[in-house]
Amino acid sequence: MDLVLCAAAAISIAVSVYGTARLFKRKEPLYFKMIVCANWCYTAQILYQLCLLVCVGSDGSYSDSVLSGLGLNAYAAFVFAANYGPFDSIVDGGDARYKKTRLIAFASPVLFLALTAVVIVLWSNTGERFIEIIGYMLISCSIMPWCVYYNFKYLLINEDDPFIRGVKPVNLCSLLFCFAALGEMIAKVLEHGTIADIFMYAMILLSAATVFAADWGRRKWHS
Amino acid sequence: MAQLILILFICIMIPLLLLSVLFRGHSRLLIIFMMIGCYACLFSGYLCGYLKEAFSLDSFRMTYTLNPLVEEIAKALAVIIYGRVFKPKRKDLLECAMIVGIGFAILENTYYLITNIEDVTIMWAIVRGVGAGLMHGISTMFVGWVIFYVNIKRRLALPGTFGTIAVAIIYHSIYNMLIQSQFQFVGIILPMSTFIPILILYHKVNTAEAEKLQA
Repeated sequence: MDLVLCAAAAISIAVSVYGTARLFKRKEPLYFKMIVCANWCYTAQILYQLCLLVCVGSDGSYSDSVLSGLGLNAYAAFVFAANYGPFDSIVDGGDARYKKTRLIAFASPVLFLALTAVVIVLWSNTGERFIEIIGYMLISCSIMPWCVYYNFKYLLINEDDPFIRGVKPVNLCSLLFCFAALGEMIAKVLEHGTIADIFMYAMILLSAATVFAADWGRRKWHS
Repeated sequence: MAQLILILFICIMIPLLLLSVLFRGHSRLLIIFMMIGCYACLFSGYLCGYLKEAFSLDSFRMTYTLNPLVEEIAKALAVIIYGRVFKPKRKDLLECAMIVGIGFAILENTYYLITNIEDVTIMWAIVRGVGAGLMHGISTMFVGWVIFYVNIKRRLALPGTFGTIAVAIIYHSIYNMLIQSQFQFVGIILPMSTFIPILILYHKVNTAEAEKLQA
């Protein structure tokens, strides 16, 4: 487990360094910069979990990882901010023909919050204190629902525009990442350690894939 | 004993206060930010003590869970307010941010020195000075750096501010875990290994800015 997590952390750091090196090499769009920052935040989170395991000998339980939600939240915040604002007005632009898309896209935060409610119910049955899960709960109730809304919306918009096609892989990776985070929470509450670990490794790969997808999208915009 | 940190705070604060009256301009600003750093330490000391009781956590668990959270937020608040309200130059903001962290570390180190007076050695002083002192400075300087960019790119306001504090908290927590484990040497190296690239980047940016001004 230690070695696998070490390898996963190494992958995460390598991808973050790759993204940062690209930023220093040439002027990149702000969207790409934000995705690299998001990946750095999740890398910090992975290093924290690795230290918990190696230095403290923690089993990754909630009481030991009050801060675990921080890196995930920061990841979601960067992806959300990358998609929100001026970028959204370019892709969506408040166009009336996307009204239906916008409404359908709301299904993802609703599903996300419903799954969060499941976590809370499961947690309340364990008899543990709510404070122990607060770090993770922050993820589900603050930024992540907004993040998945934009992710899903951009996946639904069906336009043959290089700009829109360029952001789709990023948003797919991010959407899967957010739901994997929730999956990890549910697995942890149900005490399925192995499944929780699988979700965590999937998140590491998805976070890394977000950077490569953003890089691919950036090239698509330039071509 | 509970008032020890308050006594130390007063001992450090009064000379600094007198110094701030004597100095002018940028020097005064730096002294004021050092006082803010000391105050952040006092505030988080009391708050952490309260939280420790409230959540019945042991001292070790506090060092890698709630202590970094409270301390980094307390330090970052001053930097965020200064950066967002006064919109200073990058150099000023980074210097003030670093000095908040150093001020924090001065009071914290003094407190640990007095409370562990029988166990302290020269090695302990070096570890605390290079490790904790630098770590507090770097984490606050990192917040300052990002806040400067937030002022330029407003779209970064939410993720930039939140993300930077999150990373600073995690960095602090990782340091605290490493320094108390069998990997103590990694904990000592960590602030140094992050300080050197930041220093190089800082000088590079400052030189580029000076050249731009000259041109």
